[in-house]
Amino acid sequence: MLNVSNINTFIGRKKIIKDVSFQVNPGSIVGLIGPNGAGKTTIMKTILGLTKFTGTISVEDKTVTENNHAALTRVGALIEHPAIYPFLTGLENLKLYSLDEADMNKVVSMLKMDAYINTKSKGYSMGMKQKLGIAIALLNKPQLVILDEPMNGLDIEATILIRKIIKQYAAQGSAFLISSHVLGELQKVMTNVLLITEGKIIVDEPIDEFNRGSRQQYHLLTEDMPETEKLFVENQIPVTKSDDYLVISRELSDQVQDLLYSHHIRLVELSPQGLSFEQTVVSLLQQQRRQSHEN
Amino acid sequence: MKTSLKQEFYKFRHQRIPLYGAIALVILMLYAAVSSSDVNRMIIAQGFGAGQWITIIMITIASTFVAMEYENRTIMTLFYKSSNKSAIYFAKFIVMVVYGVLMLIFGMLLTFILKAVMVGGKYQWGAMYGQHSLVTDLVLNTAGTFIYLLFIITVAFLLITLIRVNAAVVGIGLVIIFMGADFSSLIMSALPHLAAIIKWNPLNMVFVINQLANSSYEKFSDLSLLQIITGNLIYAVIFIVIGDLLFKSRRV
Repeated sequence: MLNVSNINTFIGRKKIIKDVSFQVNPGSIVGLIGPNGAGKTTIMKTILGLTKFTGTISVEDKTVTENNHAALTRVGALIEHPAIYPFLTGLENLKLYSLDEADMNKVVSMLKMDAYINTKSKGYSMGMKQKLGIAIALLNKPQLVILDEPMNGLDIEATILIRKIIKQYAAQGSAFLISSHVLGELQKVMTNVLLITEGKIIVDEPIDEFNRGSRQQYHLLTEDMPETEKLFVENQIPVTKSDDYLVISRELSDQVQDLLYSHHIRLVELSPQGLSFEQTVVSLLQQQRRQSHEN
Repeated sequence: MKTSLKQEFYKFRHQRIPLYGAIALVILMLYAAVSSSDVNRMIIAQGFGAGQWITIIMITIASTFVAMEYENRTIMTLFYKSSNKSAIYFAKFIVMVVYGVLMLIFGMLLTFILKAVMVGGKYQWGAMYGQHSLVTDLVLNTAGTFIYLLFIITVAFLLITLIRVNAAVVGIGLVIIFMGADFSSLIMSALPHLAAIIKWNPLNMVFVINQLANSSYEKFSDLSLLQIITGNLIYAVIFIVIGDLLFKSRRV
């Protein structure tokens, strides 16, 4: 679907994006995460052919260049701020880009904008403008949707709604590339993580793998802890103790469950332990910074 | 290009600014009519200053029409949805030219009305005075303004693309329109040995507004009618080409 290969983006003489490659497959929701100034928006602008770059970008095998955006016909985007003409109503703003009126009306109802879509957008609140910006990005059944901080200014209900819509579109095959500072929000929808810092991608993997990597240990509690400990010693299963729990490695969790089951010891708790998603991201960024300083 | 034209016309006709431009023209022409102690043939032939007023209005509107894309950050959407940035630039230019022509027609209609109200049957439209009838002078002055409009719209587009500050562009535009001619004459008289070159300076092009109807303006511009028309058109082409290159290359 989207194929980004060895791109370098320059602003003036400064290289902002450094040899970045990644793919976004149909139906996937890729979270682009990184600190301020890491290059998230620049990558998005580069994909949209808005910056000078080297390397190749293609959407559905059609190449995107600075001067050829034919491949972007079915790409929707919201970059930095909603691009809205204040003198037009919400619907008129949508009509400017819509190729299918039925689809446009569907997007309006889906985003619950019917009540104000026919009023001039200059009177919209920040959240209403943001929803309109997202609506523009979702027009014409896009193959790829690029959203830069889509949850900005949205209240909790709107945030949940947008999350639901993103999942709905992804289920129908649309791919998403989303950046957000609210990692918790992103974590709830994304299927893949792209972690970027100083213009370089340092993590590119499915969210499950990413989470697994940060959760190497499990806390175990059974109905009969002395018998459990004895069993583990007999079977040479390495464990450590932490408060009332036994700590086992993630790889052994299946074996341990089978063993306990075969000896009729009931599980009370078996929970993954480790860093949260946010902690893992911060830890990886710090690690990367340390490496950069050392080099 | 077709999509860009459709979009630009759509945006323009949904704004209040074209209406405000027309209202401003009515007010300014009324002001010219009532403030002059004697409504004479010359002021009627010049459409109660319509040429000058439309030029001022157009530099403001043309500059705003480009500036709004940067102010509303819609330029990014326009750019990524189009492979041809020039099509956007030229579509905007065409919209402005069409609006300029409509304003000129409106200015002529207002002139007919104001003349009828202010002086009635005095100064017959068909009566010859010098080389032309009054109506011919009005039409020629309007045609002169049209040529200058091409020049001034391209200047406004170039300046707004370059400095992106609407107020500054309007300010510079007003200086060009009001002081450009005097400044140009001043330089030509101060440097008579360079007059042959200096007469081609862009500030001198404003004389085309009146020179079509009144050949005596040739002594101010130092350019023949053909020269001043050609000069305006060549400058318009130069400005629109440079403006387009800047428009395409500026980061958004």
